[in-house]
Amino acid sequence: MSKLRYLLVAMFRNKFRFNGGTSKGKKIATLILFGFSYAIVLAILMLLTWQVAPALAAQGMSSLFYLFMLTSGAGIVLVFGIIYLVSTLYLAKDTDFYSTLPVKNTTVFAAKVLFVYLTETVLVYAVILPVMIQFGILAEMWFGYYIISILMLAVVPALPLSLAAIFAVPVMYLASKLKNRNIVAIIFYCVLFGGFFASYFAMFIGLNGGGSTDIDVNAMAKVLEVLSYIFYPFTALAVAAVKLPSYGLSTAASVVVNLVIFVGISAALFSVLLLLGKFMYAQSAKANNQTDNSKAKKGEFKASSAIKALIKREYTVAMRTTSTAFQCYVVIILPVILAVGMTVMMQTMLNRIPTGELPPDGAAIMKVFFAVLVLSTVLTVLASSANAAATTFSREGKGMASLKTLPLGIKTVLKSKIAAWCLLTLPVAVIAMVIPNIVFWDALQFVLSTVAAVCYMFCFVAFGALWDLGSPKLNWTDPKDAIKHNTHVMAGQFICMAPGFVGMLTIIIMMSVNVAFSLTTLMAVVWSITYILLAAFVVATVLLYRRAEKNYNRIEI
Amino acid sequence: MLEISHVSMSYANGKVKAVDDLSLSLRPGEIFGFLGANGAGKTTTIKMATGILPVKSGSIKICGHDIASDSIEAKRSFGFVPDSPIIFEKFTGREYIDFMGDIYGVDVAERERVSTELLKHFSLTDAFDKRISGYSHGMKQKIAIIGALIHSPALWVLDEPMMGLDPPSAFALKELMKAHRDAGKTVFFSTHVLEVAEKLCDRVAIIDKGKLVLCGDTEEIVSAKGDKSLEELFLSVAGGNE
Repeated sequence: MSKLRYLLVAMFRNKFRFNGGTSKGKKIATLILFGFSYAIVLAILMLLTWQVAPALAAQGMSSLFYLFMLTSGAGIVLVFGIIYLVSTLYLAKDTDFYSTLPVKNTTVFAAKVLFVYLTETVLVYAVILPVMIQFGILAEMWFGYYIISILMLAVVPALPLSLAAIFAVPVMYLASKLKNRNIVAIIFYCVLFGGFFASYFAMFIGLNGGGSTDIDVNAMAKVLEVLSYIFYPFTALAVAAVKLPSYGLSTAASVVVNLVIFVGISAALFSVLLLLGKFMYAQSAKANNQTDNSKAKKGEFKASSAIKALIKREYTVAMRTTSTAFQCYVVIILPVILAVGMTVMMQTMLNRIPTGELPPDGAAIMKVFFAVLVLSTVLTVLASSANAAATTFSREGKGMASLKTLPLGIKTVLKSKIAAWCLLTLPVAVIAMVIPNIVFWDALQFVLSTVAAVCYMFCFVAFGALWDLGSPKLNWTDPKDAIKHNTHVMAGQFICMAPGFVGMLTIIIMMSVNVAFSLTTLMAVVWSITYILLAAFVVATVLLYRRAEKNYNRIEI
Repeated sequence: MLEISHVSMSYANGKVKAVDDLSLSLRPGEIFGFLGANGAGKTTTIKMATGILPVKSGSIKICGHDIASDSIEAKRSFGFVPDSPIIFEKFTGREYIDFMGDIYGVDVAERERVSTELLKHFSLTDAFDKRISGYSHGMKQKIAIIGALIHSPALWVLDEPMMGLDPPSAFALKELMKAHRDAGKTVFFSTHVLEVAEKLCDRVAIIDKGKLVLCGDTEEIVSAKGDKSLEELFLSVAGGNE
């Protein structure tokens, strides 16, 4: 038992401690950033609870809302759990190290599963418990509600994690049979994230009853009823927590029976998780100890220019590095997914607004309002699709030494990196802007937004690479550490997200202050701000480019 | 060929002097051994000479090109093999050589000729189309050597090249170094293996705490010190600081 504890403590320390040499300022900045993101997520969930809790409680639908909270937590665990499971059990780099220790393999495996489970449990508690307590207070729940919630949240990750293992095992097994296994993993992650966002938007549209701006309680109930069948163990927990009678039993007996159902099914699913996890871990150990004796297919030399060789290298290295391929490639499609989802959502909302109540010009102004909201959101997400460029030097690691010995100026290297990622992201920026523009058609807005998106996308890629060059994180052994906890890169990405946020804020403030203004004024203000910020971005990028040589020479490996 | 003039380098805000006013001059057609204990400043000097670290004080010229002000031309003139070859592990051996060929502007026929010869020399032909990440340390060292020589550089720089090589490969490397010298080119390498330096090098330099303590023709300095072995000589001028 003590060995299990030692292993577990070592895994947590290794995963969550700051790297040695991290300055106090960087630690504080990381914690602030983390706290800020957490606060936003919590604020959204609490706002939703505040809006719907009294109405749901009045209609006797508290159990459905409780189910909604549980499935939200499960969704988070499912998406992040798959990545965590795969990286801890299948793609683990520490398998060889642990196998040399005087510890049973089963103990190492148990520590790894517990590590994933506990991490996900903490996540569930952090995101869901405050909302559950808020709902309990608003809906005036009984005392047992709080006890059940606090105790049973620890069991909640069993269901999504076993689902994650069920999804991940066949994919990883298939990937291990193929030469380019990263392609399978990338496609899988694309489908996973695409599915997650699509389900989110589908659910949100469902919650809005097909289009009103407020949450439609009856529509929400319909969505949640569907969820109650899919996640039956959670339904049982929800029924127990809100003390509903079921199965023709008394209230007290119903609470006990439903708790037994929830814990029983969760325990069974946890056993499934253990079995599948064990299989993944065994496959990982086998893959680590296998020598590649296969005869490689003979290739041919192909000459190209230096810049083409560098571009090809950029793609190859990013694609073949399993732990970073996801962050480099998959995020590129996010703006398109978001553009589709937001456009559908905003269009349905717009359709439900009674135009008769609006002043002259009002319908056109509302259309511009929704369009700009979608376009600004897409612009914000475009910044994150330049992730690969924003980490391009950090991902070089100590290999930067090899790059520095080559007869290449930093400007050639930069051009190749910027060209490589622009070739992928610029078409995405155009597609993501065209989708909302087709629905909210306005010729001038189409031109302004598409040109802005292309220019911004180029700036995000160039600024990201140049910003990373200023302070690349090269001292890592695991490539994903080049991206994880890289405060400098995160700060750069937040700067890139700023214009989109400013666009959103501008339109919201203009509509909220309720001052009479014309459509022309609205368009002029929004697009002037967008282009002034673009000009500022161009200046910042040029200034960084002028420092590139100095920053490159300053790098010491 | 390689001119190092009054080069200094400090770490930890000037508190630790890694290289202290070092000057060396390498001639065409020689093998030059750069010797020193751990932490003596060998790797720092090599990193400055190859452009990995900036030259903050003094100057380094390769084939007449200053590594600081004319770095591209200077870098075209040498091939470098680092002590731990952190080359592009995600590439196959062939992709890596192709990449190096593209960067140095070597045509396909020349790539084919040089790599075929060297792969045979190092018995690496079978692994050439496999990913470098699956190579052993010695195999990575060998592919790094082929990459460094693909453009037939005038100066070949190697940092601790014998580390991780099996005896046949070490022998093959020494033969290559001799062939490079015999072609009128220069080999500059650092090593801990004094027997190798004594047998292989035309000239050696010994560095201690960043300072040059001895430099000259290997045979001459050994005989001038009463026919001591290079190991005894090294211990007398730079020993005891481990």
